[in-house]
Amino acid sequence: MAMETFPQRPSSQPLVQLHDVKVHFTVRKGLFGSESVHAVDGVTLDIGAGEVVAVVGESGSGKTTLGRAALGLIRVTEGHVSFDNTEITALSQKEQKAFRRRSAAIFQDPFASIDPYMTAYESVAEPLVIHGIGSDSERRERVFQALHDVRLRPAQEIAGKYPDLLSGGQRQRLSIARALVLQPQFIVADEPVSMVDASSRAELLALLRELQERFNIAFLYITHDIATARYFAQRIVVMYLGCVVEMGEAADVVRNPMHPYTQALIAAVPEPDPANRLHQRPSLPGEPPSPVNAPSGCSFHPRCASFMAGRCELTTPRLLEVEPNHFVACFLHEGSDAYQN
Amino acid sequence: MNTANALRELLRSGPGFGGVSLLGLLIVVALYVLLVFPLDFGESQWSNPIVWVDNPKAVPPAWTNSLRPEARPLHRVFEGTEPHTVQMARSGPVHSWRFPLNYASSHPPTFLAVTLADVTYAERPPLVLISLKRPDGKQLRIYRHTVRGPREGESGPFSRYGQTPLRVQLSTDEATVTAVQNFLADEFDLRLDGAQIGGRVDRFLFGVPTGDSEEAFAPLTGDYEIIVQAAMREEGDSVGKVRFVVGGAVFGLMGTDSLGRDLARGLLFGVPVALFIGIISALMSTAIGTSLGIASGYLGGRADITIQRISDIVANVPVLPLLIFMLFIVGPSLWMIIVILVIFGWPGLTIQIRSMVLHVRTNQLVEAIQSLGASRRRVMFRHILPQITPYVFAQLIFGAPAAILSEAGLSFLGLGDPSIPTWGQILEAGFRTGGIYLGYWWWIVPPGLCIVITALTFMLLGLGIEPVVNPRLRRSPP
Amino acid sequence: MSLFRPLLVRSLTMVGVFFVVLLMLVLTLGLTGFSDRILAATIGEQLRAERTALAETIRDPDEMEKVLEKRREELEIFYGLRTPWYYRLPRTALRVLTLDLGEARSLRSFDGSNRVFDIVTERVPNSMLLLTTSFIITAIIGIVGGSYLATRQGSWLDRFVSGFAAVSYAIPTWWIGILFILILSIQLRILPSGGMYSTPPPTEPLPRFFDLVSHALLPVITLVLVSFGPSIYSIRTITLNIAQEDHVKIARAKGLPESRVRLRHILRVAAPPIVTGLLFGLAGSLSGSILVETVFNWQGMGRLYYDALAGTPDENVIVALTFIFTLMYVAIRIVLEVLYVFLDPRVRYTD
Repeated sequence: MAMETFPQRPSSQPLVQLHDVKVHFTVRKGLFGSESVHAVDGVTLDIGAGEVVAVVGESGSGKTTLGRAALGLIRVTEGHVSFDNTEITALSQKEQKAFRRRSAAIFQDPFASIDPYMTAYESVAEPLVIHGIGSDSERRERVFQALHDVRLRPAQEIAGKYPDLLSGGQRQRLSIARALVLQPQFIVADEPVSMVDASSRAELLALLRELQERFNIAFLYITHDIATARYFAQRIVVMYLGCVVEMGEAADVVRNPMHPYTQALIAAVPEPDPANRLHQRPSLPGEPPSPVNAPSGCSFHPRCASFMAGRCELTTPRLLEVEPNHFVACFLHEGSDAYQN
Repeated sequence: MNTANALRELLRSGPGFGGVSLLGLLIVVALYVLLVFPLDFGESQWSNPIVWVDNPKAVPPAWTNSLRPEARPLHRVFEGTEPHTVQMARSGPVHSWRFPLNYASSHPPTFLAVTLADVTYAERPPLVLISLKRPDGKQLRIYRHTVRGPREGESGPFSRYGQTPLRVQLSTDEATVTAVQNFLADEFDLRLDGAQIGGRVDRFLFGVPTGDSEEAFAPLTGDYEIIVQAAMREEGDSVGKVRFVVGGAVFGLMGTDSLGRDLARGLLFGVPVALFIGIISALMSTAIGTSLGIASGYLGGRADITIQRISDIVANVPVLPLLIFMLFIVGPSLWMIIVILVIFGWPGLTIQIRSMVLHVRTNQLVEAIQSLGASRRRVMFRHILPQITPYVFAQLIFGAPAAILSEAGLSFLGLGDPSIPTWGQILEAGFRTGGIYLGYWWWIVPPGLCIVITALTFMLLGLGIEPVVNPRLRRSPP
Repeated sequence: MSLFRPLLVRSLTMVGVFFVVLLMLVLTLGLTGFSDRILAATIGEQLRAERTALAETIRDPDEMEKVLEKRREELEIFYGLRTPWYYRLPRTALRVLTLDLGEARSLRSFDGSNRVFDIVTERVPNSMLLLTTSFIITAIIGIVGGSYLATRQGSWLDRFVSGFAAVSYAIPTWWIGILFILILSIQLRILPSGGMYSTPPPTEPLPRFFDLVSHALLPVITLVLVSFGPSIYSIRTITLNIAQEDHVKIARAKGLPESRVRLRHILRVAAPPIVTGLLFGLAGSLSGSILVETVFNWQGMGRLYYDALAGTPDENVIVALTFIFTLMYVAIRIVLEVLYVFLDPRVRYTD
């Protein structure tokens, strides 16, 4: 793949840099055979300090794997991930612990990601315990500050409760508090609101945004919902089967989606107008194919409304800067130079 | 967290309540035994024949009398230290002890024995005389003994029968036989020779002739008196202890074995031992099984494969032959039994725990905790372990009966630790010496029942705990 | 071809079991100095024999001692007693593997041989007879009872069997055997208390057979009594679990007759796990039969253990028994595992 097409943000040195990251899983098949699944297949992405980048895609697009790779929770097959100019793929145990202190994660399932055998207080204090930060009284202060920050009230009462007595929304606030208590510079939030009641979703998102601004935390916000991405993120990255298909300023991508897949995603967003309730919205035909046997060429071609036979199924389009800071991987926007390499 | 709730739930279920109350009972008994019995009970008492010498051999418990039409004689032991009366005679002071005996059985006693201990005298040895006074007013002297005199070169005061008391089995004592012979001739005009009397002294002493034949005697019930007299030569001479045993055909709460050992005491001592074996080996194999299971499930990769292969193999080893072999080689010791039980006891749990950990591991918790920077050890023991603890606890309880039964089986094969009596060993003795073929049920049934009750206690506890534990287990979503 | 992998894994596990046991035997013997003692005893015996032979030719006692000392040296080198035990380890393992098991101290085979191999192998059929009979009876009771109970879930009978199964785990099999002897043989005198044949044994084939049956009755009943509860219970649970699966509901919804649903849709699917359960039960009954043979003086390998342990222990016999027991167990397991893999198509996916 040609180097010159890697997009570079013009701003100062980014906090997190993903460079041509590939994550392949091996699947055993038969007695001796095995096959590799390309969950993430060459993603390059920078996140500046205090910047919010949203990764949007359907399930199976590799967005969650990308998030795990960004936190070093999973081994990268190829490419590099660095944090504050330090390669995190090759850290010693001690260095990795230092990195964990400056990063955090918020997971999708508030029921599964919190230890059911710890009180709310213990859960939030756990990172402080792990990193040996503060005396008992300092920890206490920080835990209650975090509980206060995520508006778990009354903090005194909630602190002593076990998670099974908390609602989904409260649990998710708890996991946000746990992520915040170390005052990290970078948080990967993997669908943090998708499993919460619809009623508290907006509130939670507003809270995340407020905290992000207040503490100037860089976010990798992973979601399947392009609407919340637009609300929360400054930039949007659209992924399909392990590859970035479109990337740009959030407002640009939503207002002017260039990739047919992005266009389909946006078209599928319900509009908050009761008059449109029964209106048949255009939907993406078919299911996303399994990454085990990704289609040839542009992997989106079997579902694409603008499929060009003899081209899309044969060659893979490259990610090109079509407008300033707006990248698309689609032959519709590639022009004649697609044939030149 | 809800320990109180869990306990309440446990007590509400039938098996749970049964298990808890039985365990409570066993623990109380075990504590009593630990307080009252010497810790070296096995060596100092159980395997020491001297302790049991005055007991009747292989007789059923005393309470069996109430199940039979005719009562068999109870075992009676009379002991005296200070003399009951002291009279002055020409030769010196005469110390006497009088033991009243109400005899109500329709059988004669099984034996008569006398023991003298701690005799001291200044110059000349005392003379000890024992007489029996019968309900029909007849009285005869059945034993006469002069304490051993000074040896050459020995100087007084002399003490005798201190370390090894003098014990005489009157039923076979020659002098007693002669005394009885004379008694029968004088009182009943019966002339029997020594061979006819020897060993059967008791039936003549405690009976009257029926007249059917020379040797036909019917027991004479009523109030007897055993009179022990010691004729001293000097003021200050003394007999420290006098003991007279009228051997019964029933004994105590649980009867005796063929060595005269009080089975009740052996059975009681077995309680703490069985609890110890069950709990310690279950604890140790659960600890190993759980740690390896967690490690296997959590670490994955080569560690997982290695642990799985090893536990597969160990789980499939036929355990009993190897147990027998190793115990035979290294010699029987309770610790060795426990160690070997543990060595072969962990794999089942490892395999189960591993699959549970795999289930727990796939949920986001582990990843969430890792992302906080927790070490593997912390994730395994602080976060995964608590989630499977209830299950592990139930398995721990189910592990105890298996260990208890294994120890019993090994003891039954003669591989038990001889210094620590267990129920299995009591059974083994009963089996090896042919007790079962003689129908000595009191020797065979109670120890087995003890094993079953103890094992059942843990089974019931486990059954009671499982439903309490299970919903908690299912709560964490897949 | 996909059958190959599970077959390989299972067989390898059992072969692993076999070698682990062999290794443990040899290592324990060596590490504890036990093999040294056995060898020294063997040499001592041989020298004693030679001394009597030599006494014919050599008169001078000093001369005799010298010759014998030289002979001892030769023998010690021959048996490897002069080298550390681990040098002998491969040879010991090989000897055991080739069933060269030495000679017994005091035990003899029925026809008087003192070769351990003869003593042990003549007991194998007796053990197998007891083991397989009770295993088959338990399996039949388990399958019939279990699949019946699955249709009566929650009934008093169901609860009774569950309770009975739990109690079974708490009962030592051999003690039940002793109770049987106490009640049926000693008190009521209905059945013989032990042995395999009356003395003298009947010579006619048919009376002989019935004599064997009457002697086998108590041990078999003992073994079955303690294992059939758990067997019924586990088969009932397996069957119940499968009865709740969707394909069974669909079969019922299609209106298939209940008997057909039960046979084709439940029992056939339940067969493999049931067989697995029974297989694991086999290991248990193997241990159980050692003790039950002892109690009933059944002339099998288990009773041989007891005899070899009693009095002056017969080391060679104990080593050989442990080895042959494992060998037998592993062989049965491999055969059953192979059958099992062919029986259950789903095995191919696991592992």
